[in-house]
Amino acid sequence: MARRVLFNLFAWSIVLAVAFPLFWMIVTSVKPQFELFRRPPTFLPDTVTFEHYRTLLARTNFMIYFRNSVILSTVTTFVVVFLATLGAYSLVRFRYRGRESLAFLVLFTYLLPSVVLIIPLYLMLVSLGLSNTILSLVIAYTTFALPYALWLLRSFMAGVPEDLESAALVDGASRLGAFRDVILPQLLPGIISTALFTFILSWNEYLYALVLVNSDGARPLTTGVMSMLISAFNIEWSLLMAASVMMSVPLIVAFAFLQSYLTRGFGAGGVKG
Amino acid sequence: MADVEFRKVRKAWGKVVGVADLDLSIRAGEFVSLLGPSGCGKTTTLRMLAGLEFPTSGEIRIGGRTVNDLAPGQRDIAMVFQSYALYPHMTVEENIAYPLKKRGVPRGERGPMVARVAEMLQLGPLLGRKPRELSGGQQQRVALGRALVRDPKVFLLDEPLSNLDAKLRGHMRAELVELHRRLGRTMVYVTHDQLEAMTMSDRIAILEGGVLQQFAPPQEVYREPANRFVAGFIGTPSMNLIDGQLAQTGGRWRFEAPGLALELPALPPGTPGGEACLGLRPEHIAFGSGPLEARVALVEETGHETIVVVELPGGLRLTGRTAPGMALRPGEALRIAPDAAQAHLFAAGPSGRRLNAPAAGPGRAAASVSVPASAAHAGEPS
Amino acid sequence: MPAPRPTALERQYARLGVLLIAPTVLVFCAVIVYPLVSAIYLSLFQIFTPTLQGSWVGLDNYRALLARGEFWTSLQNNLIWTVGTLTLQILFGVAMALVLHQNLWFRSLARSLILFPYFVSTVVAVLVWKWVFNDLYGILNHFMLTLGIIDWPIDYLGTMPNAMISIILVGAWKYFPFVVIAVLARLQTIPEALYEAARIDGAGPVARFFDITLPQLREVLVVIILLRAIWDFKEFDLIYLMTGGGPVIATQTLPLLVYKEAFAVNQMGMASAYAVVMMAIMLAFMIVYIRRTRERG
Repeated sequence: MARRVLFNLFAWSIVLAVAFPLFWMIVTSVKPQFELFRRPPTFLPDTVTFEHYRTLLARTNFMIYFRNSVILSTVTTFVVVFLATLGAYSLVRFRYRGRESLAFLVLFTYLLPSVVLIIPLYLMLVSLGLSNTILSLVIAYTTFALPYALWLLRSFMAGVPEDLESAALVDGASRLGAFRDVILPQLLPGIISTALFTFILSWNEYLYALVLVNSDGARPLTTGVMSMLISAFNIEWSLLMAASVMMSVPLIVAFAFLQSYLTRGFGAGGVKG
Repeated sequence: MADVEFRKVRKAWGKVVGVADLDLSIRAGEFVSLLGPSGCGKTTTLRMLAGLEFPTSGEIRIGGRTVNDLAPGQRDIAMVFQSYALYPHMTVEENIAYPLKKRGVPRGERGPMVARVAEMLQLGPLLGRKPRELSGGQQQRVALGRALVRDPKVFLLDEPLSNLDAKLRGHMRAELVELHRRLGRTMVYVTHDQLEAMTMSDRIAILEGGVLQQFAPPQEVYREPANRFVAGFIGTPSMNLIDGQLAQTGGRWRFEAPGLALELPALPPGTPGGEACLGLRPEHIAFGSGPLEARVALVEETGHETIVVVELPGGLRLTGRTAPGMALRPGEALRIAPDAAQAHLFAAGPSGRRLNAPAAGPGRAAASVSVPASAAHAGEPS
Repeated sequence: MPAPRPTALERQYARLGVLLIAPTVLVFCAVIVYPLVSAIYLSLFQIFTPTLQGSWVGLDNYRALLARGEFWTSLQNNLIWTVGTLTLQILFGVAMALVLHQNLWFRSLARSLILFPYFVSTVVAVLVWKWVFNDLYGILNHFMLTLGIIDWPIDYLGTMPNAMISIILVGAWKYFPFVVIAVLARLQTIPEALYEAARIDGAGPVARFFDITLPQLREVLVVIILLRAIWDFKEFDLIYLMTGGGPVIATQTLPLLVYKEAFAVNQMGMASAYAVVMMAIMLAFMIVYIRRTRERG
């Protein structure tokens, strides 16, 4: 028993150490500005205040960035998951020339660094007159989100027993009918998981947003919040921490309600191949 | 009800041949088993019939119509899968009704049809459940129900009983036979279990390495195996297969192997001499008396019979079966009498064809056996 | 023998398969294949970013970059960063997985907390760590001073080797959860009977780890290392946001060099050449990973 208690203490102190920066983020965001610079620093705030959140929402562009991020990530997720679901079905359950090479291409692009594509993409989007638009980011995000989603869904699709589709075909369904009636319901957890990952990936993206957008109207949260850090003469850490917390809200929601989907996606992702 | 015909059907993946030029005619209303070890091409054959795999060449006909280009749903077949393939997100009722829905049966008519099948298979109380809430046997029934709900021309069954426990399997065997008798539909049944094939089928098609070995009624397959593969595959314990020399002296045929020499009944004219293989079913070896010396190597009492493995002086081992109660102990010497009239003779090689005509009847003709002199001395108990 | 002709049904299915993948292929060509080819093509030009005026220079960019010290420094930084952060991720990740595999109180909560850094935006992670690292009011300096490890506040990001060590540590913190989850999933599939057999044979906990756990993890570890090596090598956000490559170029890796060359120095041709070389280096890892995946798939 004593050993168990000791082990738990040891394990939990590591876990808490890992989580400390996140705890510190939340604590800082609710401390009044003057308390930040107190020495020694207070672990739990003496006075809890939400003034930074109010400032953030009322007096900065945060809400615009937030709205942009929501639109951007949602659209990207829908487009990518739609394309990838059909694509994965095709890659896993159909036979045609070039299928193997395509699967190879998907895996290759899954590993491809963004900086290789960014210069030509920048030139392309500028010449299309799309720079500084949310659409340009949706297009750019597809370059990493689509291979990622395809790869994930391919593995989920392979997990749906082939017999189910065969049974539906014998029972009189067409290929697409079998897809809708039988495969799609089985694939749903995988689709949710993939959508979640795609959304988080888009939500967190920084490089493309940095290069392709430099107007506040189209800027997503990542570059938007960083611009608040850079433009401020006097860095308001509380405000930045409040922004960080707000920015992590979708993630916290995902963790609270959809954690099993997150872990599932992990298995299907890179590791299992 | 429809007949099924395979004409020179071949399935190959690159250089790998799954099914080689299969010719098979199944009569309307017949229960035919496709039997063979795993990888013999039986499931591929069934899936080609269903339209789930595509033949590389050849023609498949159902009821006189070529179906090569038809989708599975257009072939008017129903299939039971080894995994049952029940739709996990649908209830039992929805599972059974699915083929009706896909064929445009109006919603109002589906209910009575599902109810009829449910009653036949005693699924009534389960209709509202999901497949994962059912036992293996119940899932099996639902899979059967989904196949039975329509009135298809041909039923295809892919090892439907292999996931059940032994007792339930025996029960379902009888039930399937009864079902076939009642419906009179053509059924094609894939199995690796010879007991299932022997007890249920009108005819058995035995496949090995993608090649059809024999297509005949169960008793014929047993009594008159077409080649060495079938001889060894059908029957438990397996037929004794002895490699040796076949020679003709003065119009009499003689088979010799180390420790064993057997004079055989007349063979068809033109039978080649030389290397050959002699097949003896375990029940065609009598124990206790006879011309051959042997020593008991192994005794297995199953209750209703005793399996005895004996070793001949030349090191050859033979398996026999006797009534229970014969007190035999390993190491004991005894005399045995193979029944030469019931012997099967095959050409040399792993799938050597049959050389002799089958025995006339089940009776045991007197064997004329002689013991080679050398073997007799060597085998003398010391 | 006549050439095997696919049946009408087979051809119809193949057409449907192609139709389903067609939109994906189109998007792939437009946003990945075309830019990829252009990147290689652009690397043969000299292009001034603001005007996009270019002139053909052939392989001059490549000759120039190989002769440039900045390229080699960045490559070296890139390798130090990758090896450093990867090593920590693996060590810490495996250890943490072993701990979380035990019967821990509130295990799922612990797992969530561990997982969080991986999913949190790099921007958030960097902001938080910059605040923790802050030389005047940062909590880390406060701890270090209180514990007496240091006498004077440390500049974590502005001096070397502190900056490199800091980004390596933050990288390890951010990405080790990936290793944890992957290893944990594998640990759960090791049959308990193996451990029981070892226990009967008298193996202690340490022997059990080296004789059973580690060999069972070998496969998955190789895959994790390959994958993380690829991803760490191309990391941009974290380093760019933490140090911007500084002090001077002491933490500048190849992705940062590409970005700087294209959008700060305004030489897009040269930047493309850097990017192509970087991809060529990564190709080695990518091919090994793809080979492995295909063998097992």
